[in-house]
Amino acid sequence: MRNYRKEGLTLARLLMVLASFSPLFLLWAIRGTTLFNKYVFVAICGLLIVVPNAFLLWRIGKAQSNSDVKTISVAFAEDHREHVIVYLFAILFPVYSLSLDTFSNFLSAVVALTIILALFWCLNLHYINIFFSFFGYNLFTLVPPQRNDGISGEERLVLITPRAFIRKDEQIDAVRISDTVFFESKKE
Amino acid sequence: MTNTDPRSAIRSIEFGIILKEGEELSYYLVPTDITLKAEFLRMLEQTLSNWQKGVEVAREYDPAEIYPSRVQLELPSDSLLLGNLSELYNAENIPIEASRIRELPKLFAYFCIFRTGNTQNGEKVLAIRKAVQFKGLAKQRLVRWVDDSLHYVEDKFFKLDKEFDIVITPTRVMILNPKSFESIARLDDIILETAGENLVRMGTHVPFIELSSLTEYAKTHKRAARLIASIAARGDLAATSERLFEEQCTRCGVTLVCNDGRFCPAEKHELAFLNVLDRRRYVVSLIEDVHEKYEAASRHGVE
Repeated sequence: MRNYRKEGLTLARLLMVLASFSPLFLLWAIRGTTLFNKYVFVAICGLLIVVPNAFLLWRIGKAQSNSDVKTISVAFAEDHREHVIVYLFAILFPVYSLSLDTFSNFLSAVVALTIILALFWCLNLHYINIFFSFFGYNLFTLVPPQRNDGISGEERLVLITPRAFIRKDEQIDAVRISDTVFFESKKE
Repeated sequence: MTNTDPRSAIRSIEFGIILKEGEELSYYLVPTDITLKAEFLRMLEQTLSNWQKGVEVAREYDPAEIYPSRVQLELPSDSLLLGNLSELYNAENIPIEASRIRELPKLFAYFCIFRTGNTQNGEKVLAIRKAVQFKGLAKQRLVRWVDDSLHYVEDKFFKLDKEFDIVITPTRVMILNPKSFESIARLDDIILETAGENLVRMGTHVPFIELSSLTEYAKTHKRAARLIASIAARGDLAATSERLFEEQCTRCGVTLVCNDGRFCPAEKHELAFLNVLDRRRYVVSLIEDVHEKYEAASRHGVE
């Protein structure tokens, strides 16, 4: 089996990374800038929060309505809920501290953000979103069983789930957000 | 293992493709929408209905038999003849890569995984179809009726088939198209690889035949390897009578060589020797003093 993949949902993954920037856009909107009209800047930040997150919600709903479900076999799972904290404090908040009051400062902040966006997009780190945490969802990396049959996938997958833990050798039905990120909704 | 009705309470349907590059096969899942999933379910129902139509008990697949293109056959799901299919059935977390569907010239087969029951105690049913129409139609030019004139349709289209070739449940394998089964399971490769083991198994059950001379022959002759696989799978091999076997060989014109009290076929009689053991070489005498010798590429027992 080939050990490289062609990751699909290119635009969707980009929007999902943008959705993960929501706390930064929220803080920027509150702080404002002297470079632009206050209302225009708030509207732009608002759009950058609403559009990607609305798309993410639409993507989950679409996957659910299409029964785009994959049964994932898990050898064991790693709990990665701290990724959200690391992401916020090590990556987004340093960008927030950059000044936006001169054109060159504003441009450098946008370029820094674009680099983070591109990097997260290329590295498939589109699964981080603080809204999941707010609504009680946790992040797990699912490590597949090693079957060495040339057919079974050996790639680690990310699951966003309300579960507090995942047992070894468990099977999970989850809807596909992207080819490597899956979502399990709260059971009724 | 239980006797699963493949249509009972299907929990999810996953669609996948098998691409062939040279001799290498690669497997990918491709996401589909709910309308396609409904169509796959209809295909499964059609396959099961066609497989059961007009046959009380399906015959077991025999690798030495030459079948028509469409016939109802079955195999136990733990049969060694499943080869690749067994690995596909047991595979987990097959990677999702929607873009692979664009590699149409490499498309070899497509499959659906139907899951029943719940996640922890559920079972799965694998249905496979060799890509013929699915691949072929994409190369054709299509037209459609627009504003009272015909227009080229520039999109790529796939035409799904009406049924699957093979359905694998936890207990058995249902085959509707034996040629597709042989091709997808890579049966010839399995049979050539296991010919040596099958000869050893035959030798333990029939001690009066010497089979070591056939080992090299079987590695290069697919027909011989298929006959060996068929003979080795017989449950009544140990009851073979030395006297009757020798008489049958004489009647059928198969020359035997005796080595230390054990029979082996003379050179160029290897295939005929195996055909006698597999009940495929026989003599008919309907005219006085005329003994017509035949080989049966296809045969089945009668009452």
